Amino acid sequence: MSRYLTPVSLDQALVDLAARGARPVAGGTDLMVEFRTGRLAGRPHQGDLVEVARLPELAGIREDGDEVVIGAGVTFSQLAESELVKSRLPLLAEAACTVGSKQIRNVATIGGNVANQSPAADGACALVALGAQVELVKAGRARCHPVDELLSPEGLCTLEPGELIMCFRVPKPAAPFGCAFRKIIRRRAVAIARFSAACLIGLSPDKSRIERAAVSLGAVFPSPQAVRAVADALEGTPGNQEDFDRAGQVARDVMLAVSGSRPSMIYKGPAVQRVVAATAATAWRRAWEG
Amino acid sequence: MELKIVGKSPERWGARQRVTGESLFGADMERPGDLCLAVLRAKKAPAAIKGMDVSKAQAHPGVVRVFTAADIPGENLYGIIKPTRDQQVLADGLVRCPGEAVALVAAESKAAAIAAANLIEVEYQELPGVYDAFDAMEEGAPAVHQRGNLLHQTVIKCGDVERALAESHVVVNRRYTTSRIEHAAIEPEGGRAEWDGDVLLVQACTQNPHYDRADLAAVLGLPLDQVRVIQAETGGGFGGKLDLSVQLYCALAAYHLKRPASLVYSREESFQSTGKRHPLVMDYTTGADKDGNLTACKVEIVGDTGAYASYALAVCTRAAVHACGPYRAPNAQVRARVVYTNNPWCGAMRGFGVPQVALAHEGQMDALAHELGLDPLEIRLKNALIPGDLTITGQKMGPGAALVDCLKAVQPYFDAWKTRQSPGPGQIPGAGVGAMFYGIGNTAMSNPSTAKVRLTGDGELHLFSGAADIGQGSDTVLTQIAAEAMAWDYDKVRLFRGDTATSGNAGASSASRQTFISGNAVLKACDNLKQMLLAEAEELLEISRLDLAIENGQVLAKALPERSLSLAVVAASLERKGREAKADGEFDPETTPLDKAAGQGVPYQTYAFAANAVTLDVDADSGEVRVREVAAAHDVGRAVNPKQARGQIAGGVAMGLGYALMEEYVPHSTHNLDRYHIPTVADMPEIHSILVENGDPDGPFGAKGLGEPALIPVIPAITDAVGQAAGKTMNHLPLTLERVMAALGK
Repeated sequence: MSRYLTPVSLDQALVDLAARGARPVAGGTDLMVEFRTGRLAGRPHQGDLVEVARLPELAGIREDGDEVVIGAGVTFSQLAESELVKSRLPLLAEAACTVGSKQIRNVATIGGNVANQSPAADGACALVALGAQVELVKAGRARCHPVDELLSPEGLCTLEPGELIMCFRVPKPAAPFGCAFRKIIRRRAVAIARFSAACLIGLSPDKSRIERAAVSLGAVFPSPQAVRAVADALEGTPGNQEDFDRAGQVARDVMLAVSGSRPSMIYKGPAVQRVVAATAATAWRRAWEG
Repeated sequence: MELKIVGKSPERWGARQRVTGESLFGADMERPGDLCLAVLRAKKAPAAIKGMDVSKAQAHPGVVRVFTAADIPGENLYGIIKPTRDQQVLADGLVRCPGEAVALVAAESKAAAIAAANLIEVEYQELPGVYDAFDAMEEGAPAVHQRGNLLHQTVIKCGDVERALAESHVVVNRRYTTSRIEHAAIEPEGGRAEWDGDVLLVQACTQNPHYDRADLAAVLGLPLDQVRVIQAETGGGFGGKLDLSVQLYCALAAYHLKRPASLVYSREESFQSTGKRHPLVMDYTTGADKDGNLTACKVEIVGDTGAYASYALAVCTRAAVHACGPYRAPNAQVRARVVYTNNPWCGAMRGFGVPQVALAHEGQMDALAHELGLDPLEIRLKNALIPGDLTITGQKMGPGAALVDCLKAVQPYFDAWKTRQSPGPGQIPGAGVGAMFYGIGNTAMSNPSTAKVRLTGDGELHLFSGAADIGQGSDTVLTQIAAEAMAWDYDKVRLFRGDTATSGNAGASSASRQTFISGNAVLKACDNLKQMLLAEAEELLEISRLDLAIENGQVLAKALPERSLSLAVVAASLERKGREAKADGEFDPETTPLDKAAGQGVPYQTYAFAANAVTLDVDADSGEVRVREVAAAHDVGRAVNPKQARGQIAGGVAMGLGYALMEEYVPHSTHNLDRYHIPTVADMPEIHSILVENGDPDGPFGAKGLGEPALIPVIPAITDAVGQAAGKTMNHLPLTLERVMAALGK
């Protein structure tokens, strides 16, 4: 039998989660789909559900020196509306706006988005481009890792049974910077990304060249991943159209090298190339315009 | 004639109950203590069933009984079109497509029923299958049914097509294809059955309660009057609830176990087990003279009905009749064939083949316009059917044919949109236009409707109709027609609908027929009732009926208003004489069969026309399409309820947009609404709906039908606009990211 537990403290939640088969539930937008599928197939969910969405330790968005700390229980609506996120991490705010529908954004959390480990996760894609760290907590232990390590299919860091995502520590990009998030979808809401691109560009103080760049792709690799070669193609350049076009080509080449020439690449090849170029151009323009 | 309620938009029938939650849909029928059902469905097909062991399932805790084909008391055969009936309630030795029902479990809980269904051991022997309609017509192809794989063929011929093509100034030749799609009504199939004395009562969502009763009675081996079907409120149908579904299983379990049984399909089960829209392959060769007048149209259509016939005959015939579009085609040759395969079965879906052929006939018009350097609207105006013109079946268009008005109504929008600038980097604007005509009612056959009206001695007006309101609004429209005809308050008409015990057969809520056909039946019933009331009033007042009129619930003596009588008094007078103030009305549209050799005849009494223009943007980087605005002009004859008519148009645009851009059913891949995308509100364009109301002399108060026309013209209009933007004609639906990207090129 499965119980629904509502611990009021993080400590109690970690005790509850230590039980065999226990699963944390926040917004439940992925979990409920999974449970329903199991129930319809005659395999109802076993094990306790531990509600974590309302734990104060997982709530809130705050500044901490050069970082913004985002609780794992923060919803996409909160991210999209937060003045702090909009001003300091606009990439994350833009990505948050593309998640699901209004109803889903109102309950789905950034922690759940990462924990669910979908290759197409919009929030995770933005966090990876931003170079975010994730804080994990388990009874008697806390640790911190880069988000992309937690997401990596190679298992550089895996969420252990009973372990919970506490928060994300996201470095604030240094001005002048600009960013853009682009999600390609088959319809305009409640759709999984065909692919997505997140781009962060930091300019030199005189804005004459790109000093720092980060580009991550969603639904292209087994997990959302920052592509260093694309950033390399952009860094040091003045940010002309040909620089963005080259970045697009590099993105396509890296994708083909990793994924091989599957049938889906007939579309994704040119589409990733063009969308990465266009997203980088948008990020650069925003950086330039300040 | 000045109308009081027709042409107005009173509060929609049942709207209040929807909002307060009083309305009971099929899924709301379930009661505590009902038997819960689960259907075991075939995973592999085609396959012979070599053996089945239900012992473990039967022994599972909570299971009441497991049923197989052997438990069907009557015929294990059903299907809406009698000559091609071919579906099994539970598979008898053979499954022809995945998802076919193999066994039924009745249990005390849903979980027990599902668990037990998984314990049924079925020994399948896989058989060779055929999955392409053209392959299925090859000699030696595996036969899906004993009758052979070619289910039906319709041929229509007029003039000399080969000669006309040879003499044409320009000829365009193209192949068009469409996808298999799902209705995706908001409510999945649901219902309940129980014995009520010696009558088996079935309450479920449906589009056709009288058909349901007939086939349920045959399956159960019961006389017709021992089955009663009451239509539950129905959350959308679109053709998907014309065939029987949950009713069969609820009825079978209740029949045997003498306990109420209820069943609601999950979305996945609904997708897997109910009919789809027929995918068609359409080869078109169309000719025109140098001025753009159509000279000839040669069409070959092949449709895949999957493993069962359902409505395939109707789809095939209607596609053929509408193949050349709403245009004068002096020479035409059409052959439409529909073929069995082992794919998921297809049935009725909003438009019955016309949305498919509209893609093609409109694509041809655009191709001709392009070849001749004509404006897409101009070539349509030049060829539009006008009153007096002949269709390819030789039918003369009546005075209500208003395509030209529709085209002219969208022209200002289209002209403005043709020169719209790109809204931003990478966005390519495109504009397109699409037109259609649609025959109201079933094709080339009798398809009557009946209605009954009664005036009680207490002064209540009762309307009885078998027409299923599935959200399209027939309750409101038929009530408005009755209120208008009887000069009665709309709010005070009492409607009794969709109960085979009280209402007569109105036929299916399909083929856009209820306003025109059932509306006429209501009108006739009202006329008959008025004659009866006037005759009685004549006696009571000793005034000739020529000097009497019915108005505001009264029999008005025109010359002596002080002697006017309330209708209730007249009805009461009839009641005292042992008679009821009650009258029937029947209407069957005037049609003739199509002759077999050349398909000539009068398939419908009237046709609705429409034209849509759209403007959209194609993203040059990703192939994404954003439809911005749609101008939708519809020749409705007369809008009985303008607000509902505009609602129908908006819904049609949404569904057409989905068909054009994103929908395709692939078993196990796009198997629920998470994976199968229909448009969301975020995908919707701004819609300018335009009602063209010239009045159809044969329609009730001039009305035609709109249910299916609402969907159709936006499909070719979007397709054309995407083609314009991408710089390449689009002939295959849906216009996915991949197809648009390919059209955009390197």
